[in-house]
Amino acid sequence: MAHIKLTVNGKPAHAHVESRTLLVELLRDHLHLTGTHVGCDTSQCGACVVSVDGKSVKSCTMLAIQAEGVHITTIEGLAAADGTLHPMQEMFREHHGLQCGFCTPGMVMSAIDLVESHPEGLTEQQIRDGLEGNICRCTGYHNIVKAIAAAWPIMHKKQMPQAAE
Amino acid sequence: MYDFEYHKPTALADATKALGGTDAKALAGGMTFIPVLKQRLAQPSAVVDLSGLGLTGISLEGNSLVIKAMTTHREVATSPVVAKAIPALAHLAGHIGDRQVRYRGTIGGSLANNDPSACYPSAVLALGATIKTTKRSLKADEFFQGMFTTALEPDELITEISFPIPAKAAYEKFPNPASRYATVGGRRRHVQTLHPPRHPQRHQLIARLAGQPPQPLIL
Repeated sequence: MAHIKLTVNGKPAHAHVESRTLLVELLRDHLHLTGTHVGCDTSQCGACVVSVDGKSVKSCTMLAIQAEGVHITTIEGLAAADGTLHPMQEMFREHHGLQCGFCTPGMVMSAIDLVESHPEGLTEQQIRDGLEGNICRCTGYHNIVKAIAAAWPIMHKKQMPQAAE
Repeated sequence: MYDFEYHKPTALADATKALGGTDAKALAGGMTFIPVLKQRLAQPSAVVDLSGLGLTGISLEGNSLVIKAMTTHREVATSPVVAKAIPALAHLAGHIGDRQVRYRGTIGGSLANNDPSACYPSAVLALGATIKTTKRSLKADEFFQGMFTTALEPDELITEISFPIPAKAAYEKFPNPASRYATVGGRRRHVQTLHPPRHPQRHQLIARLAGQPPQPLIL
């Protein structure tokens, strides 16, 4: 067993884990943050996506022990303390970007990374391509794409430029 | 997943030492190896995490583009140096797996695994790259030895890959809809022959297929 220390949703966290413990197991079973889901468990569906040092990562395909010293944000860490939703969550709500909701935590975490890493703007096609690692079994992609496009101007505090296709 | 001892060395010599003598396995980005462990297709006694070795970076050395082994697909895809030197390589890296895979997957890991459906082996073979390891330098056609098999010894690690910059290159694949692995992929390069001897044509065309053949194939 190894003792690891990391920061989760802005707060220090620690756990005793086996070498084989996955990051998603650390989050769900040890830290009881069950908003991060396990869908396929084969790194394809994206339900387990969390932010690791600002990058979206499939937490079912990273060892917990590799998270020593990193900063992790999960879906639970997005809303403000008073319950105000993150703009991406708010736009998912506004545009009904979810049906059963199982893929939603991973979709939101991937979408935030996508928007943050494209300050020059995002076309609809870029949003669709950027979600290739997230699968929605309800096939509700259209409203998810709309929600992400709507969150871009709020997150960047300016109008979306007319990005070239 | 079976349990194992976890090592994260900070010096190459410690990494190769940890890999020698036991049935230890190296962990690069883990995008293939962690799923393999989860399915119990491998049962190493120890896993040696290579992420603490500082083996990342992209540079130009003479007429070659040099990429260190632990450089991620994302870093290759977004590097202005790669985009200028071999834009086809940036394009290839930007279409491996998905965004999350590209953040963690590495060029060295992809080559050491030598999945016939992977994208990088075709680039390395068609572009005539040299693979530098902790023991030697290997030409691409010496390195790849068949499906999931390479010339690497158990305690030998890839340190960097040196790509001669071609006049032109392109890579296209028919991706699997879920995994983005190449069902069939092909890479071509044009090599500007500096001293054309007797041949009238100044360009040589080399193509390499990924995916359908069981191992990298030069046409």
